[in-house]
Order: sequence, then structure tokens, then C-alpha cells
Amino acid sequence: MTPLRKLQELIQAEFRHPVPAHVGRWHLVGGWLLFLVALQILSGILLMIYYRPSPDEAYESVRYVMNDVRLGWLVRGMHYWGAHLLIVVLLLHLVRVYFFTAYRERELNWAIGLLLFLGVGAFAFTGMLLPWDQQAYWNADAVRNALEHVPMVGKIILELLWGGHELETGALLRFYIFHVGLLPWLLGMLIAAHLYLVNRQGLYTPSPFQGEGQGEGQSPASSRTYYDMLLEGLFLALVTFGGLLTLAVLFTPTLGESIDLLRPSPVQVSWYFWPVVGLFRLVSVELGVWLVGLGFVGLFLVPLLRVRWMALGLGALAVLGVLVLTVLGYLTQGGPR
Amino acid sequence: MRALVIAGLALFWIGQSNVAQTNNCIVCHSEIRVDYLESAHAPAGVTCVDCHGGDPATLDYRAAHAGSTTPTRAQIPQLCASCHADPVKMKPYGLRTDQYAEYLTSGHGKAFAAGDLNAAICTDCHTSHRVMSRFEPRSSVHPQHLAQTCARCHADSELMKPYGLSTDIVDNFRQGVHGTALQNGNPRAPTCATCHGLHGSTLLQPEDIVTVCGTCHIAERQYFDKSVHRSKTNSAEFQGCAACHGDHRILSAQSSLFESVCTQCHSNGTSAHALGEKLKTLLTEVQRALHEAELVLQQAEGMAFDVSGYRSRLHEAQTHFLQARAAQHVLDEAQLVELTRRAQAIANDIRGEAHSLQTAVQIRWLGLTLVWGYLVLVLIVLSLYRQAYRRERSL
Amino acid sequence: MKEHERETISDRRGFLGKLLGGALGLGLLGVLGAVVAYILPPHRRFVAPVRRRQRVAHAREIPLGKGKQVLFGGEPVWVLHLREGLIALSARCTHQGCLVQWDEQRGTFACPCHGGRFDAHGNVLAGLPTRPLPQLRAEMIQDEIYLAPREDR
Repeated sequence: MTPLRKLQELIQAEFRHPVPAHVGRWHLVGGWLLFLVALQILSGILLMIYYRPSPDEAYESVRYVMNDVRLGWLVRGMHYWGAHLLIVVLLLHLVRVYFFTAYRERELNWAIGLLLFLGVGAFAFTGMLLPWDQQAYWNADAVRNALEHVPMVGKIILELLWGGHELETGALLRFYIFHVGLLPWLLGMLIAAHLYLVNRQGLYTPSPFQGEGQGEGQSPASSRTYYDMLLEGLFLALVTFGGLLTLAVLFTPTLGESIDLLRPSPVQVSWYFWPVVGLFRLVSVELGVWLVGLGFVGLFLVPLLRVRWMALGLGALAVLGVLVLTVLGYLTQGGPR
Repeated sequence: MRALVIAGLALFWIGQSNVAQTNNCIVCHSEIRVDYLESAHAPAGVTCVDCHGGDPATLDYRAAHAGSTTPTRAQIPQLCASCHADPVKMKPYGLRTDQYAEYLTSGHGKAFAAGDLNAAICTDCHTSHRVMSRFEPRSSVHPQHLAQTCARCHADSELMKPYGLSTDIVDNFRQGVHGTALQNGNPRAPTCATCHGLHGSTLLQPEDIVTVCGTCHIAERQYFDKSVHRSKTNSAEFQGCAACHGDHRILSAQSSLFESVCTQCHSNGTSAHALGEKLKTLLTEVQRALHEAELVLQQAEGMAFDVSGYRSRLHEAQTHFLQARAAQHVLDEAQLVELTRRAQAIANDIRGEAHSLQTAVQIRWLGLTLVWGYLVLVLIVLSLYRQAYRRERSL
Repeated sequence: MKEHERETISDRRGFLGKLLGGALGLGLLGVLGAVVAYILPPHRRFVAPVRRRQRVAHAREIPLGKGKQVLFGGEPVWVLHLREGLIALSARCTHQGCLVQWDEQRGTFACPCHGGRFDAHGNVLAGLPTRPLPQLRAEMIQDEIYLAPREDR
């Protein structure tokens, strides 16, 4: 036996257990996320080679990556589009887990997942600021202004994350350190805990299957094994890789204008923050901040929802609400703050 | 009591300034006090009595006004000149002394000398009491305010009627490029006096127009002087630069001038008309080429290609183009062909880059296609492998 | 029969597995190659705009009284070698951006487009420009002339 074959056999032995009958393609979404995270880490490390996190050099160094470094545009393009896809898939995962009511009896893991969600949001925000172009600067400025409206903790957060009121005094370095130093560790540990708990608690069994299997959390075995899922995941990963490559080639992310401190640029919010903007427009920024905070705390309480149809109804309402707010945010994002 | 306070204040003021002698006039003539104290004369020690006579030392009405006068319009130029045309007196202040001499050569001065008391005199522009240096932003003769000061008479149709002068020149000036530049704070933008002269202001003679415009528009003048138009400018029917660009309302030159202006003298079918057409074509074509080159560079930047090397080439092309625009005044086709050719060559180079840009894009596309070809093959193998795996298990 | 079929399938799977492993290995190799190409430093080294310093000429290229037009960060710049030292000025006229020419005889810069003139320190002497030519720092270090942006402008 060749070593390769040996490895295959080893993997097959490890993954030979059949998956429960209810486990379908939707359960690949979590693995998909894992692959995207790995891709982000790889492309992110590559970008770190040339990036310089100082206000004087950041913009030029990103330009350098785009124009001079071999395949630099591709690496940045992959990182850029990878981030967008990661958020899409993350939302998909969240919605999937919710509507399968897979959070049941997995309160801790649901909470960890929500923290991960928050962490990815922080990743997206800090990452968007790193090119330190007009857009980045004035977005950071706008969020700074919004943070000042946050009751009680706003000022503290500002001191912690922005390093004070001024954007020029090391804010960029902080964003960079959060993006490549703190957040990866934090998320890495949370992901490890998330996976450990999934492994330990097993996959959730929806009620129609409950009791049919040999015990709690067991549904009748399907003909698929975990090895099947691995292969399907590999398929998905390859297609994802090709898709990101395509996006990077066809829609290479460009660099905005260099910073002009005397010419505020209209804030352009990334699509995943549109619902928040929509909420800010609908109510006031102050109330909006409260509502976002409350909504998020509400998500932690979701496992308390015992009645399935109530959970589904509430979820549908929430998705609808977020969609409406997204449209609202999209339509009004260019307007005055 | 109030008079005492005012007197005290006035004395304090006088003590502050360099006025050596007591000037009690402004104690009573308080309406003039501020104007006078702000003027250039106050710190120089020129006081009321130097023009008006009387006794500044007393507050007694009679004694103060003994021998005082208000200078008449007929007296004022001479009166000002008694100091300002005296080189010895003006030397410490570093001021010129030729203003009066110049004034006498001006349209204003000549009319004045002929006994026309409506003719502008010193105080019409400089004011009587608030005489300020032209560098003072609030001065009536500061470049930003000069047009307004001239307009006080030159926009007055009653006043201008006897002279047959049009009253819309100041408005026209403001609408033109010069007025706009002035308003935008361009420190070298011309005002009325830049072309017509300061104290010797006069109507421009047709033969002088090119020289006057050429003091700033140096290159255009040099080119124009070599052209066949030059010899025509001494006649009234062709007034040099103004023949095509107009006088006070001078607008930024557009290629439409070829149609609207040249054809007024050169009818269709003449060789001059054909030359004009040719020049216009050369210039508009190269302008379009440069614009397209700029677009190519922007497009390349949008696709993350480095074009900084081409930017400096484009500056060079732009230089040739702007030089050609000035050089068209020679009306020499060969010269313009050469200049536009140089600009065009660079523009073509840059537009040629669009092709290598496309090649680079094609390479990216090719790479992408290859990767997808590989991926599809791997995916097929993967699917077959999974199929085999499932069949093996099902057996 | 079944045994035979199983064996065929097993062989088939073994072959496909090798093929798959090989192909994936090849793909990984490709990605690795791309990563190495990315990591190898490119020809143009990165220089921070503030700390940018660029060698633009050798001292013997610009004898006393002469000037040379060079590119500094893509922008055209005149480097003059005068009695008072080296002077570096942006070569772009402040009127409409034409490239000015150094006139050795007169010791002035002339703009070919509209006839604007500047002195050797960039001050406007005549014509339409209103602002002086921006200055850069020029230093001679071991017979090599270096340019750097001016901090005070």
C-alpha cells in the first residue's frame, strides 16, 4: 500500500460511521465556513507580508500590493471576496441552525456561535479600514461619531478601540492589531470550542426523528457516511475556491482615493451593515444602538423558545424585518447621518 | 463734559499715533475722524491743515477756521501733487512721484486740463479722507475693489453720455475670465488699471492692444507677432487680440471661435478659411486623443495596474498640446502639425498601452480558464470516486 | 460474482483515489508556486511616501550651472546645480501643469505653453502662474544626488 492509500484508508476508517438520516446538504454549511476561515487566514497572512499599518504608509503599501507584487491583486481579491462570502455563509449557517431549531439543548454552543458572529463583524469592520483610503477614514469617523451616542460604554469603547477621540493617533495600528492579532486568537479559540461542543453533543435531531433511533439525539442511520460528507465538502471547497478566484479576476477590488482630511467622503456602508443603517434611519441613532444591542441579547435567549412554531414564526418575522431594514439602509445610506 | 471726553480720547489717539502736532480739527469734525485716522496720511503725519489750512492747536471756532478752505475740484490734483510729485518729500516713504505726470497724460487728466470738472481727479478714486494704500484690503483702489471704484463713474450713463463711453464695461469685465479670476482671489488677475494704466489710464490704442495683453500672455504675443495678423493690427478694423477674444467680457477661448469669429472676415472657400479649418481639426483631434489616453489610464488604474510612468508622459503630451494652442496664433500650419504630432504620438503610445492592458487582462482570463479547467477535471474525478465509494459500500 | 464486482469496484476506486490525490497534490503545488511568487519581493521596492528618498543622478551628470530633469516618484522634477548648491523644483508649471524648461543663459525656467517664467528658486517672474514651483530637498551624498520631499511644505 502506498502511503497515500494508507492515508485514505485511515481517513475512511475515521469517517466510516453513517450519518443520521436527517443530515442533509445543509449540514455542510458549517464545514464550508471552516474552509473559508482557513482561506482568509492564509490570504491574510500573505497580505501581512507587504502591508504597513501606519497612517503614512498603509495606503501606499496596499497600492504596492495591487500594482507591484506578483499576484498581489489576486491575493487581495481573494481576501476581499472571501470576507464577503464568509459573511454570506455565516448568515446562512445562522439561519440554518435557527430554522432547524438546532440550537435546542445546545444553549452554550448557540451562544458561542453568536459570539463568533460578533467576532466576524468586528473582523469585517477592522479589515475594511486597513487600506486607510478616503472610504476607510470617513467610515471610521462615522462609526466614531455613532459610538459617541452609545450610552455609558460608548466612550470606553472609543478609548479602547480607537485609542481616543482622534483618528490620527494610532487608531489604524489598533485596528490592524485587532484584525491580525487579537481577533484571530479569540475567534480561533471560540471556533475550537464550537467544534468541540458539536463533536461532544452530537448533531441535533429534529423532532420528527426523535424516538425513532436508538436513543436521545439519534435518528435512523442513512446510507451516507461522514466520508461522503467529507467528499461533498471537498467538492464545495474546490468550487468555492474557483468562485473566489473568478470574483477576484472579474471584480478586482480597487483602492479608493487617498485620504483628504478636509473633504469628508459620503459614507458607504458595506452591505452587511445596511440593516443597522436602516434601523438608524428609521428610529434615531441612540435608539437604534439600543435596539441593536437588545436584539443581539435577544438572540442569546433564543434557546428558551420551546415551541417550535413560535420559534419559526418569530424567525420568519425577524428575517423579514432585517430584509426590510436592509433595503431601507441601502436606499438611504448616501443621505445625511 | 462729553466734549472733554472726546477731546481726551482724541488726545489719547493722537498720542498713540506719530502725529507730532496737536490736531484739534477731528475733535469737532468727528464724522471725518475715523476715515482720517484709518488713512495712510494719519500715521505719516499729514494732518487736516496740510490740505485745508486753519489752526489745529485751538478749540476756538473762529481761531481754528481762520484761513481754512475746502479745496475745489479744480485745485485738488495740484494740491496732491504738491507732495506726491516731490521726490524729496516722497523719498522716506518709498513712494513714486510720477503719478501726477502720468495723470496729465491720461484721458482723465487731459479732460481735466481742458477745464472739464467732471473729469476724474485724485479723490474720485482715492477718496478725500480715507486715502489708503492699494495693498490695504479695504482700500478703494485695492485690486478687488478697483472695478467697483471705476464703475462709480463708468457705469453712470448720465456721466458717460457726453463722452460717448459705454456703461456696461465693468459688468462685462466681471463676467469674463479676468473678473472671475480676480474674484477667485488670483493675486495676479488683472483689474481695470492693469490694461488701461493706473494714473495714466486711457483708452487703449489698437496698436497697443497686443502689447498690453502680451505682458501676461507672453507666449501668445510672441506667436501672434510672427503672424500675418500682426501687420493688420495698426488699423482700426482689426484690433489685435480683441478682434477675436473681445475686450472686457473675455471668455475662455473655445474651438467654436473658429466658426463664430474667423468667418467674420474669412468667408468660406478662401485659403485662410481652409487654414482655420485645418488648425481647428489638428487641435480638436489631439485634444480628443489626450482625453482618451486619460481614460485609458483611469481604466488601467481601476484594474490595479501601475500607470505612474505613463502619467509623466501624459504631462509631456499635455505640454505639447497647450503649446500648440498658444502657437496657433502664428497661423503656421507646419508648426502646429509638428506640435500636435508630438502630443498625438504620446497619446497614441498611451492608447497603445490599452492593448498591452488587454493582453494582461487576457492573461488573467487565461489563467482563470486554466484553473477552472483543472477544477472541473478534479471535480469529475471526485464525483466518480464518490460514486465508486458508494457502490463499493452498497455491495 | 458479487465478489468479482466488488473487486472491480475496489480497483476502480483505488485508481480514482490515486488520481484524485495526485490531482489535488498538483493543485496544492500550483497554489504553493503562486504563494512563492507572491512572497518573492518584486522589482520595485516599497518606499514609504514620507520617508521616500530617491537617487536621481550622479554628480557628474549635472555640472555647475546646468540642470537635469528627472522623475521623482513618477513626478517630473528639475535638479539644478548652482553656485549656491543643489536645487530641486517640481517641473510642472503652476499655471496649467506644462513641463517648464531650464534656460541656462538667463538662469530662469520658461514654460513653453504660455511663456510663464520662474527664477532658479521657483519664484514667479512673469506670465500667468501665480504660485511658485514647489521645492524638494536635494542632497549630494558621495557624488550621488538624492531627492526627498520637503517636510515644511
